[in-house]
Amino acid sequence: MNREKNIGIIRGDDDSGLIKAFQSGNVNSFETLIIKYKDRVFNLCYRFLGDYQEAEDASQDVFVKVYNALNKFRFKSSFYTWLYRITVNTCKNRINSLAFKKIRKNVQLENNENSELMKISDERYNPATQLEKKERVKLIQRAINELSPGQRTIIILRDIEGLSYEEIGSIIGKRLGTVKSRLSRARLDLNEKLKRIL
Amino acid sequence: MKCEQMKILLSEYIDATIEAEGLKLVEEHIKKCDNCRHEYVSMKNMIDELKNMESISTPPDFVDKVIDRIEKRSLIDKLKEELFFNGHLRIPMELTAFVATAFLVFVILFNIMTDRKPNENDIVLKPDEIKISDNNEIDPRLRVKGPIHLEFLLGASEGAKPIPSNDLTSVSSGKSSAGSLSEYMFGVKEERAGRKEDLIISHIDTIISHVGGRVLSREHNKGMFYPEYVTMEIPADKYSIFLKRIESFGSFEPPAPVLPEGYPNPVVLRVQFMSTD
Repeated sequence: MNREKNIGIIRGDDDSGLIKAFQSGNVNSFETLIIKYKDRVFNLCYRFLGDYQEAEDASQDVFVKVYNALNKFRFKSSFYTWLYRITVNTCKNRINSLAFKKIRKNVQLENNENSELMKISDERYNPATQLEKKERVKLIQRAINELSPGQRTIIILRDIEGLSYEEIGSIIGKRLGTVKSRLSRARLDLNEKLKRIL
Repeated sequence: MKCEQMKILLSEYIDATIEAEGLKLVEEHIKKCDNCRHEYVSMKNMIDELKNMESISTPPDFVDKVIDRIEKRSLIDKLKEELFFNGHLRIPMELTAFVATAFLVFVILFNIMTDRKPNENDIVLKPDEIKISDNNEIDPRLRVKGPIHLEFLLGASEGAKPIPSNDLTSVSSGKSSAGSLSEYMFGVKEERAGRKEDLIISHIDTIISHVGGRVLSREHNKGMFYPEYVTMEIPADKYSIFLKRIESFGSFEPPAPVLPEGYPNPVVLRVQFMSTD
């Protein structure tokens, strides 16, 4: 799927009509917003949490929170930036929860048993020795999971979701310079982890 | 420029957001430095892979689930609106009194029935473990510590009725006198808290129902895992199967009597478990 294009569709559409309709009492317009953003929110949660069920629960939480807060939305930022901010915060809270840490620990134990994958040397980009794409994606997700929540946020928003530095700054509440330096550090760290894993 | 400083600039270089001065420095450096060039290629490939990661499909019923959650939430909000006005409770006094009383009763009963801590004699088995194997064996921890005695209740076979509760009390009152509410409650508490009693009774009931019989009464002494007496009705043709099954709990002493020929059907009998728990 072409992610840039997908984001473009989201940005191109004007959500203000739907939001104003909701604020005027037309609750059904919220369903249109869910349909429009569910894939983005779900994928963001999935990349963040690395677990399908957790991602589903977190995405549901996000939309319930948005529903409860939408009447107070004052169009100071774009809706999707606001939505992403809620999503990122929801995922961070989940990562910090004890229950999630327990799940993560179990998943890591399972992964460690699959030690054959760990023995593969740094020949990532040699097509002849490339792992199956599916396995690679799993390993990349594992490396993302090993990043700190802050680094994870920035990598996902920039490299997977394709957002601009300015948009990321607006979502995480940081200045442009901070976004750039954090992104640089996160990419270097992720690259090191991938070198180790792949 | 040192390699470490150069690596920091690679991210912006790849994103093409680096300023002209930095751009020149990076390009010159990676031409000369194998290590940084490798780092650049590696990072660029990583970013390309991240960009091309496929989207995960959202569960098909996702929208419905969210709407369900929102509607449930709305119901709670509506209830709050009904019950509160400007932050003050606005419910009738009768309802308040009823809810408060019900809550108090619940708390008292709950405490009475659950405050016994499990002890080492409690057996924790899941319900699906409550079964007797084909070779007639049960969990050894459930076997009775003493003999089993069986007798026919002659004359009680036709239209047999459960033994009245007063009689039960008189039989078991050797160890706990009947009557007062507090003692009754204490007895219930003891019985509910220990899982072993429940399992044993469940076993016995299962055996009786498997042979097509029914329990007429059960007499239980306080503190004992086994009921002291179980009176029941068993179809005459299932008597021998029943004996075999009951023997899974322990041995008959004296040996179980043979069913007299022509004995009225169903057979009414009483089993006594000489438990020494």
